[in-house]
Amino acid sequence: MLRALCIKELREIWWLGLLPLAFMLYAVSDESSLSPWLLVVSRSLDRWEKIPFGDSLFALAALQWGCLLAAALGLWQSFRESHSRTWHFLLHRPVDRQVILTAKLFSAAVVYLLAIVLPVLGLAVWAAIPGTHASPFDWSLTASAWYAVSVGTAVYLSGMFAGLRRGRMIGTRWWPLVATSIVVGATALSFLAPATVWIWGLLLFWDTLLIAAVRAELNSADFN
Amino acid sequence: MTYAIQTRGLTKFYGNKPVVRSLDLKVPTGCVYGFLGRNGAGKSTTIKLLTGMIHPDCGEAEVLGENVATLSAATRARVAYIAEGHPLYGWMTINQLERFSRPFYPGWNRTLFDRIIDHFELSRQQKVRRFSNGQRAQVSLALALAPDPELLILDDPTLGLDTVVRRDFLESMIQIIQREGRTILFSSHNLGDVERVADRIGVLVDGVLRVDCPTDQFKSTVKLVIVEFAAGAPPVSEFPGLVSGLANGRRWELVFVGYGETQAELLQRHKPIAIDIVDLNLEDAFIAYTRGRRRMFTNDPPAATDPSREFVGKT
Repeated sequence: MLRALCIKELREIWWLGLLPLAFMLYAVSDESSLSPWLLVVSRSLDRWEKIPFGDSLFALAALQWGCLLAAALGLWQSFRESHSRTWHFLLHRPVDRQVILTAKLFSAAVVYLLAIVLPVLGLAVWAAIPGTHASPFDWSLTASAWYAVSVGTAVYLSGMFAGLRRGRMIGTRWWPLVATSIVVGATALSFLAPATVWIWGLLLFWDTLLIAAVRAELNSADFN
Repeated sequence: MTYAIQTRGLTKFYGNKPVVRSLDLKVPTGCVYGFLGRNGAGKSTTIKLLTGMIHPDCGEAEVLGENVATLSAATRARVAYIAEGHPLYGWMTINQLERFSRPFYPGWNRTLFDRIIDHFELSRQQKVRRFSNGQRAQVSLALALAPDPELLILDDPTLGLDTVVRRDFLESMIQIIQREGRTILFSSHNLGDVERVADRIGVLVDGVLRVDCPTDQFKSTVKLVIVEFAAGAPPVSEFPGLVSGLANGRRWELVFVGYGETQAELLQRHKPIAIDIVDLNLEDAFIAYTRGRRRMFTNDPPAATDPSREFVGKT
């Protein structure tokens, strides 16, 4: 059952990851200076000298594309079912609604991992291999990028929550995304200084709240 | 008697407006129950309450003996539900829909599914979004029946289908569905469909269940009485069981529930020259019953507790 649900979800959302993946690959190539295109045009711009994870530009790219993809996944997975009224078909499957939610989360995680996390991981592993570039490397340099990637979880969950809940007044449906933006903005200092424990703690706390909210909404919302 | 569906005081508000009001519905096991009502009467809302798609503000509902609020997956597997408009995943083909649905049902009858798809001559490789409304209804029916459900809840399954497709759909549905112990609740705007198929009906008026009885009993109890007068007809008076009345030239056209000697005697007091009693088909009876006196007598809507509008018959 879970497999059928996951396959269905993946077939509906896989394409959402294409554009962010392309931009992330571009960001990776830029950060690693490995792009054949950059080899030609950037030689004169001293792009060879770039230190992987040396500044926050790559983390910002991961944050930007990660958030866009996460929001798109969350909204698409919930709004699309509402728009095509397929919640009625889906929710009548003889399976606990939490299994349906798990399938949605898992499928979104797969797309997010492939499009956002894997490029970051690939760059980090490449940078960690001695001799691949002429600059020092420490894993702590990647902390900002990992935090940027992790923010996607909160954005995804708030997108899903926004898609599930019924707005009471114009615009109120978007409150979860607005609130997450505030939380993310409040922790943006992590891009100026190494990510600290409290920032990760805050994100984890926010994710927990959102998961509880999404679960409750899925069980209690009216699917008209 | 056992009931496949049973509700107690089921109530649902949208905002401040009650859409379903204290609904006590009992659908006996093995019955084909036609659920009728005008647009906005609360039929779809009731069906969504019965399938757990929406939650009641008050009251409770049971299907197959289990509370809908805590319906287990095992019981849900015994209930088929076709939602209004036949929502399906448009990007899927019939084969993909079957592959998606099959794992949820241990008792999935692949032969039956194939038989229904072949019967309707549907292309298995075509995406659902390319199908017409009628074809989507047929796919929905095949998906609903393949798990061999004990209870089918169909929300206006023939809505938007042309006459030929609708007739074909219904005949196929009855031919395939009818087996001992299987219960069907279906809502419809088409009274001809209900008359052909349902052995019991419920009529919702403004969220209140006004009629709940065998179809034949409803038809036989609701009568059109034409009262002719020598001169111009006087204004229509109140009579027990009167649902609607119209003074038209030299005659009254009255619709009664449970027309009998009492009503006949009261009519005679107005000194008519003739009284004709006309049997109504289900559609005429339904229209007369649901349109009611709000159109015929006065602009005031009938009171919710108006006893002449309550008609809950015995099985």
